[in-house]
Amino acid sequence: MAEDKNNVKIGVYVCHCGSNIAGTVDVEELTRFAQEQTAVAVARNYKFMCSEPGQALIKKDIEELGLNRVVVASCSPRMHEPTFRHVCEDAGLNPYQLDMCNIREQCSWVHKDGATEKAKALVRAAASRAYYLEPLETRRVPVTPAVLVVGGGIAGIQAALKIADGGRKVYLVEREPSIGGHMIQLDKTFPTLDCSACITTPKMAAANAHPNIELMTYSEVVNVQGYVGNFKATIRRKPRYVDESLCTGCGVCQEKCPWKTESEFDCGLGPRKAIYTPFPQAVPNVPVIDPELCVYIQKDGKCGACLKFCERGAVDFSQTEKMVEVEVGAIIVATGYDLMDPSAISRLGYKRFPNVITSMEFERLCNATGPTGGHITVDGREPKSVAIIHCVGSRDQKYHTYCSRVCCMYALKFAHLIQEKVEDAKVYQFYIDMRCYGKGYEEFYQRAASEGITFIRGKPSQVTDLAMSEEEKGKLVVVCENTLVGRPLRVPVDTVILCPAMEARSDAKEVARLFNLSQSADGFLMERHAKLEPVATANDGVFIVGCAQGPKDIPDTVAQALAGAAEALALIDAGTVKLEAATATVSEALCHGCGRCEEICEFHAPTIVRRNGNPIPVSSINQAMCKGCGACAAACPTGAISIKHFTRQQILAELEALSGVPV
Amino acid sequence: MRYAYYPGCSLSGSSRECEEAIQAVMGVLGVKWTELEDWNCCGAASATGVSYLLSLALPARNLALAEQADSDLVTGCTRCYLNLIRAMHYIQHNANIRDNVNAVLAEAGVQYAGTARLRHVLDVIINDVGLDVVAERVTQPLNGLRVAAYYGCCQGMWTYAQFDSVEDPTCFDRLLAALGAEVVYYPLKTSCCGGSLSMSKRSVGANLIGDLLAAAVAAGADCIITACPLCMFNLNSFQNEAGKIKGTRFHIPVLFLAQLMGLAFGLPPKKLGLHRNVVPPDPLYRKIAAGAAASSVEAVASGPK
Amino acid sequence: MVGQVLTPRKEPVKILKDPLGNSFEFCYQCGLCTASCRTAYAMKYTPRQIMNLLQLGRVDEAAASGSGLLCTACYSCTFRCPRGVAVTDVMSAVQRLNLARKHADGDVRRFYRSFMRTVERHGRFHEVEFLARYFIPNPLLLTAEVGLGLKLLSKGKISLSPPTMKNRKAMAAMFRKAAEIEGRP
Repeated sequence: MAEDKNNVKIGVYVCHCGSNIAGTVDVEELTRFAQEQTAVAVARNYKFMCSEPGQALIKKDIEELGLNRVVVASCSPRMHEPTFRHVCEDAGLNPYQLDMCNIREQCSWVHKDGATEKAKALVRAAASRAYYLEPLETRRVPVTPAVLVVGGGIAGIQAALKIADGGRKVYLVEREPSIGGHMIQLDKTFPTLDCSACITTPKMAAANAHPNIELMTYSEVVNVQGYVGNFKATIRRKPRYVDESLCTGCGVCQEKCPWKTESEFDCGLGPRKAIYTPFPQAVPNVPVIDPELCVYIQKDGKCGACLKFCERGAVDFSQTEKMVEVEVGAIIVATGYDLMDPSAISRLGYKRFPNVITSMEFERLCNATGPTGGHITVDGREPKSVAIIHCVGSRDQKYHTYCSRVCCMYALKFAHLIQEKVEDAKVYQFYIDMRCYGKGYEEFYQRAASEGITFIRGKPSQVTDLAMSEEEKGKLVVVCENTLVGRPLRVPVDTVILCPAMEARSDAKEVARLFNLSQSADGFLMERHAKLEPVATANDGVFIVGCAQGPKDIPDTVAQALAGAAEALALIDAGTVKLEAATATVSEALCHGCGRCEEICEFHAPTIVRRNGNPIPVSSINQAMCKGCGACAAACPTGAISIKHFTRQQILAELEALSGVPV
Repeated sequence: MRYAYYPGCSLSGSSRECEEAIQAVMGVLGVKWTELEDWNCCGAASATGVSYLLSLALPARNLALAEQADSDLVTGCTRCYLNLIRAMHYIQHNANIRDNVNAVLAEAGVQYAGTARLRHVLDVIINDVGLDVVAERVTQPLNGLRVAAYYGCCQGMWTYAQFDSVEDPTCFDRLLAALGAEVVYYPLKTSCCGGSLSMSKRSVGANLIGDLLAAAVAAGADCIITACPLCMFNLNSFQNEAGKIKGTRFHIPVLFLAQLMGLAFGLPPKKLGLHRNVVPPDPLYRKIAAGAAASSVEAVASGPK
Repeated sequence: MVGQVLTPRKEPVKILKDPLGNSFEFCYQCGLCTASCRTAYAMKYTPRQIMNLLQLGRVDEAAASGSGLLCTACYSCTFRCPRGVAVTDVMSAVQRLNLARKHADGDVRRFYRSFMRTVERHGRFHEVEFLARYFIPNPLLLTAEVGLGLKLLSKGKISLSPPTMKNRKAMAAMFRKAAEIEGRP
């Protein structure tokens, strides 16, 4: 400690934050109080400290008065610590000699009486800690110029393409045999009624062909280590049992394979073989063999039809699982969503009545590559009357409280498609509100309304086959209240389409753990800030895009994917990344290598090592991996570990000032 | 496990045939219980019309008495069950309600501590006794008697949530299968019968009853069974009125579940109060007997094994 | 009339002292309660409309409508409500208001009163006393029920002297206390 403690000069800056603070805290009195504290050379207050004039105030004092500590009493450091650290740096002061105290979220916003007194205590505490703050060195490490994109739906594909176009290497990992996600399952997309395959397949092909993209399908990320700029990911590549370099995608193996099961891609409405590509435009157009179904694998060499018929000899049962390690600077998680299974809501009859289907099942029926070749056939016949029920499991306390955003629009789309494909079809929409918020959406609603669709405002209580009149015989009856008239209503139809909620993936918890992310209350992965940081996460360098972050339509998904790409490219183009300066240090004289720090650290930073000639092992903490969380310091039984910027001396000074009790 | 049996006013009065059947059946199943000492009316559907507090305090007194007797409180009446469990739930979750209820109970010299355990007769039969034991006691299998299992409504959110499914309960179905009956498709199985509206607003009550009867007839049921004495009363006593509203004639026997169980156990109809059923169930005896005859004929025809 | 004038209210509407009676605040008017309700077809205002009336502070209109009297407390609505409104309890509170403010006709009010009076006096529902209390003031009602009455009597289903509680004084005391706490006359 070279600095002479008698020469400490603290500047205290109290922010009014408009009326957010000044409305409850007497900022003048607080400033006067601050001026009286030990080593405070100057105390000021200003309307918005974070604004340019506010920042200029601080800079001027540092330069002219030779301040070597700055205390800002304002909002949460989560908001503006970086701002004020920058100010210090600009003025030539080490940014770690700044201390902030929160007199807004933790004071003026939560107290009516006693706010000023509390603010005084907080300011005194901050000044006391500031007194002992030391300058710290911020180090920078290089960023690996590559990105891992997890998930090959439209979000993942789009992000990968943009990053690749930016000249950077991308690893695109997808667990299904083909990329395309849910989007490629759709028929037409709202509001333009673009054919989904027509707009998605070019991007899929581009992703496969791009020299900067390494596509790994039928693969999953199983482990992630490291930190922002320097991640190491392990990817499990499942064996396809087909040699990608030899396969031409001719499809003969699929034709000849005698073993069938339900196609997951077609929502179980049609079959697939044991050797299969999930759909005709699969990328890569190389089949995989389902080891559970394949008789050659299950029964030790029986069958082998595909082996026989493949002209290129591409079938290779000797393949095994491979683990691949990649090094990247940023990770983009684009793992998408699941559609809720509406059989939980048994009164709507899903799985009980064959004529009750989900929206995705209907997409497959409409789609020319689907099990019915694009003819709308449900339970063997063409429905002449269809009910579409909104909000199945959405906006519902018992299932998901949120709105799934896309259902109102695709319900309108369905109505249009049904009327186009089925002559004299009658379509009924059962809604509570019509949510048509996007560009061209309200216009689409208007267009749909002009096509003779019946809109009934009422959430149905049940779908029943119990006929109570002649016209109900042989039909399914949707029971609801026609709320706009205030009378109960029964509507007999041939088919019912349910709009189930979009849910977080069933393995969202595992994904979150894998990438060290949080989940929001609704189960989706959590963004760092709801408004200002929609794709960043609490884990620096890991970004979430698309429906993995929450239900959204394709335009918003693509926008987020591009945002994620921008974040990743910015990170890489900066070239280096700043390391956390407030890291843990070990006083080796006190350490006896018990290993508790190694056990408790989430980030694998400490390792117990043997130094030359020293019989007692000690902890060595990797400064690059340490996040300064403090767990090791707390766990250390001898007090050998201390955290820079949060030393015992600094914290105790703060506590003493807060409580008024000497420690 | 000690059981304190709470019959409630219906089972002791206008639905006494249900009570007779329950006692007979529990006897066969070997369930021993004592009647809850000095129980009071649970408030039925009328207490809520007069006083929110009484609608909770009246059932709570019975819970308090069961606590004193250190027994599970078992009730055979689903309306009682609903009132009791509702009281337990609201008292548990609201301190203000708890204080007020106990202030009222203090006048009766008891307090509700919140430790009472409430059971439904069905729950005891299915979960404590077990369907295996029930099947063992069957001496007169129902041989394909077609039964519409009417679960009733009150038994939904409060009762069946405890030991079955609210929207799609199946405990009756399983019980009836153990007795040898055939359960018909009955989509109105949890649809309300109208409760006390059959008395206070006949036109609405009879309409609801008519829907239930019509659905059972359409499904080809020989009889309807229910586990609620009020549903029992309603479905039995207003078949004429319901018929008038629906433009048809109804004459379908409606039995209490315990009555049908008793028949399968070989107990005489009189012991099960079946002579009190408003719609005489005699056609069922013939059908059951005929079914037995048919199956014994089959057994003879196939010869010894 | 041009339109209804909505008088702004300063505080949320509270219905009696019923803690659950105010959950109508959450209702977003989807109509699932009414769609599940077996007696809604006979109501002047459906359960959903009752929630709306209460949100607007039109309590007396809701009470006077008689919808509360048609609720059988089957709880289907409460079980399914996507906003967690305790619909049955709100309807029950509205029912109480209807009876307390004498909107329903005398026969209906007497039905509830007679039932509870027998419970107050005997601790259990006393059938004969109930029949006397309910029918005697309006003997015409009796004529509609003669058929039913004879049927039940012949099957021994009307107990002429039903069992009564021993500690009947306790009942009366409980009733008095409840009335005191709820501020009822």
